[in-house]
Amino acid sequence: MTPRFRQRTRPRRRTRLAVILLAGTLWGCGPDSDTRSEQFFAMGTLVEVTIRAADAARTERAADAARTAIEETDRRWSPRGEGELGRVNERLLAGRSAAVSPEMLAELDRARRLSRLSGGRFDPALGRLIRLWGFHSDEADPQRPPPDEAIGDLLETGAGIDRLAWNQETIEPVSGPVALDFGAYAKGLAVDRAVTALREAGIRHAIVNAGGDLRAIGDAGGRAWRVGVMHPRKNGFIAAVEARDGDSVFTSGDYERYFEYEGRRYHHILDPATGRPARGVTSVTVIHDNAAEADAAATALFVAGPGDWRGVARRMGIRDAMLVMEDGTVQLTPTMRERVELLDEAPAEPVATEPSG
Amino acid sequence: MIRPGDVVVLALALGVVGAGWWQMLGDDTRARVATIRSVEGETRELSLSRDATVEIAGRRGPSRIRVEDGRARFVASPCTRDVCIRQGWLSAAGAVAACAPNGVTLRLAGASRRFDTINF
Repeated sequence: MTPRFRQRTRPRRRTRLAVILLAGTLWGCGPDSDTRSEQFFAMGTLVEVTIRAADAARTERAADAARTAIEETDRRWSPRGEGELGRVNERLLAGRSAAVSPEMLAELDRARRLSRLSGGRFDPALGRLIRLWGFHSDEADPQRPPPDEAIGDLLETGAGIDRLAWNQETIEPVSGPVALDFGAYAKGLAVDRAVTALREAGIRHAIVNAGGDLRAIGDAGGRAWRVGVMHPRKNGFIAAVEARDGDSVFTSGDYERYFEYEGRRYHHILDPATGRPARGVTSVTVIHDNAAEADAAATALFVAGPGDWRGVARRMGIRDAMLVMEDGTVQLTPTMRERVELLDEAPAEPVATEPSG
Repeated sequence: MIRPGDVVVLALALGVVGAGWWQMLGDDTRARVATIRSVEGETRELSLSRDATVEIAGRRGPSRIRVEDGRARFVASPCTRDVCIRQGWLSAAGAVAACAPNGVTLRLAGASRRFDTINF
């Protein structure tokens, strides 16, 4: 009897085991029911906050805190309007000094440091130039480049971080009206603030994605967060990246804001040296542990172009960068090459940025 | 000792697990459904298996979205720079296009997502 009993029960046990294994396999790898997303519009783009946490009430509170952080940063750093930077710009454009908060002074110091490290490729004081090109507003609809003389006149005295001086309380223009525009920095700042807000709310695993630029913390539940990098010219992805805890993934591309005139694309990433759209690159993706600095670096490398980006990356402390050139080729730092899975057929060339390279 | 019943049970289990993995890791990241949302409160869900053109009211007016050959895109929206339209066709699960001035989003979903988030 005993053997017969075993014969009847062993398959049942195996069935139960198979079902448990199957359920475990699917549960572990399938969509995580503890992951929730909130979307909203801010900074002129769509923001998505994705949180993985078991406590729904905590998740909701944290998402609200992240949203508040982004909206406050947006208000403070908008170059126009009633926020702090808008008020500062109003006075700077009138050639007058303006009072600034300690927080803004700290960011001005950091932005100036980054600008100098980039050799001036990243410059947060191009507000007048950006407006001249018509890239300052969602409402503007530029159709053609501004006259050369107007660009030249602005570069003479009206653009550049070194045309501003500040102390612990005030900022002033040193050679005529200048306007700040942190468009290549403020989104990163907002993402960093949102991540800080999430952490303060007790969240350990999340992604804050603001219009395609993002920072991830923690993981996706037993694996890294998976990030798809869109191709700058094709419909689809150029690369896949696994974001580690704290990674920011920022891309600057010539497809975000542009117009075409006489068959040529004029985009919003302006070279502070020429006052015109930078040429040679279609997109730059940077991974860094600080979103604001990743944001600034992506712009700086784009402006530096095929000839100079390696040195600028090295000076700015950027180890992970990928550039898609105008001819479609891809250049990557060696560490970036190890981190990304290239999904496009374009030839990819690892390029050393270390001094020994 | 393995008996025929054991083999059947294990084969079935392996088959189902394999199918699960195929679904998750195979080419099942193509989107199946498009969800269109407006800040005005309206939400539309469309199957990507049937071609269609729909309009949804945003804060400035109607945005028009076209579904065709398993893809979706903005074809018209009351914005100035046409960023949403220039984004072109979306086909991957998880892909998102948005018209920020009009407050309308287009998001694709599928059986599984290849990526948790998208950088551009």
